[in-house]
Amino acid sequence: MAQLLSSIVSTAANHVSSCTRLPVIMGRSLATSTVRPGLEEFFEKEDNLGKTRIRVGRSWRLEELRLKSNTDLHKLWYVLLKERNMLLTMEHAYKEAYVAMPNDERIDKVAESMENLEEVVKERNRAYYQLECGVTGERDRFMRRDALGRFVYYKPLEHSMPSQMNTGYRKTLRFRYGCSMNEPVKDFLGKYSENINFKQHYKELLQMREAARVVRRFPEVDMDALVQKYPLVNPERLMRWKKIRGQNTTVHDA
Amino acid sequence: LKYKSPPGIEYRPLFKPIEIKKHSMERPWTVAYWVSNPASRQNWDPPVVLPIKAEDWMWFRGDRVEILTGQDKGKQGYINMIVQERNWVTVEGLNCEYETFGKSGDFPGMMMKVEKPLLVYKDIKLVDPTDEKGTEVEWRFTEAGERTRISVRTGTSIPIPMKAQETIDYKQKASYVMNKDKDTKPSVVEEVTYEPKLATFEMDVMDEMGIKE
Repeated sequence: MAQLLSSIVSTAANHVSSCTRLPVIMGRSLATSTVRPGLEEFFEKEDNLGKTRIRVGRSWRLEELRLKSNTDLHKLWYVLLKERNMLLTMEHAYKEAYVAMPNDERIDKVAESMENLEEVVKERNRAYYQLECGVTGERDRFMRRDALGRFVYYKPLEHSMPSQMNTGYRKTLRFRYGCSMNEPVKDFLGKYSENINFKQHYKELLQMREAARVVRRFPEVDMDALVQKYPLVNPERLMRWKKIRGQNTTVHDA
Repeated sequence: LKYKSPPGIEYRPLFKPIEIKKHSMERPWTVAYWVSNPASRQNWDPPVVLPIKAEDWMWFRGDRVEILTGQDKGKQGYINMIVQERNWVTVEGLNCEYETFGKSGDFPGMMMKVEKPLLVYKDIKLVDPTDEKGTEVEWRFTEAGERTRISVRTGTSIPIPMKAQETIDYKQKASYVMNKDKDTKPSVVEEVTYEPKLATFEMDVMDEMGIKE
């Protein structure tokens, strides 16, 4: 992997200055000064330094990145990475100077582009692995009960021995992922689920109360709009609730 | 910020932002909002707001509207600012009040004329462009299949104004000047360079570069 990285950087450098049909044109040439080769790329361009407004376009979308070849995506990743480093350096510099950074949404745009790029690369890798191997090739996560009976994610590790031979490791797993389901554990699980259900019910109740206030104030409210705003609300249960009875004396139909 | 876990590897990284329930004329990304609505007051009962579906919202910046209530009843103006969370709209120059700011000691303060918000479903009516009077408006589909606002009385469509296109980067999409260093041309973005190959991303890149493991 290290070999791959070093060769990429050197070839990408050559490509930037010569190639004109690159996805992103970083017109600035690479280091010309011998004193600090390339370090100036961590900072904003000199023309942009004094400005209060630097206008840039929007982030790269998934649909647009899916059209590009793997080499193009590879190059784009490093271009975005360098831009991200530059913006974060400038963010820190402006913080130190106690001055507002111009257009700090650029950081979010670059982050979004990089997330989308990673998603496209993952899609392509998943497709290959599922076709050839039947699995996604990414690290699996399995739900297992821990010692207290709660369901937790188990992320498998790579081992040099098969699990049938690896008795030492299996002994440690026994305490982490083995549930005996005896009396104390069952008691705990009952109370734990009570706690979870109470929290969920409380969340729903908060939304129901707000929705009830809305219905009291606006009796002809559109139910679709209400459910869009308060997704945990049950409209039928709401209309049967006594809390929605307002100052007017009309009876609400269930 | 409601809660953020302390720095340190022993803490599970957790970040809970504050849910903003009460929106005001100050926008939540400004300092002025948090001065008047501090974090300690965010748990108070929020104001009751008539829910309007996001896709049915039909009031945009630059729309010509007629005011139905208050001092400026009957007058027409253009929408200046929108607070969708409260169904509020501000009309330029109308429905104003005088407010003093910065009163301290002997200094009487600066008096400014401030636009007060209007409720979208009660105090406002979109103006029909043909007869310049307020009408009821609905979202409908034209014969071409385009979804527009159509005035119920006359049937004319009210297009969305140009001012609504404005963002931080441009006032109108067509007038945006490309940043030579940072932006990619639309023709280059749309260019298809992908040729599907039976290889992973890493394998393909290594093949292209001639790297052999």
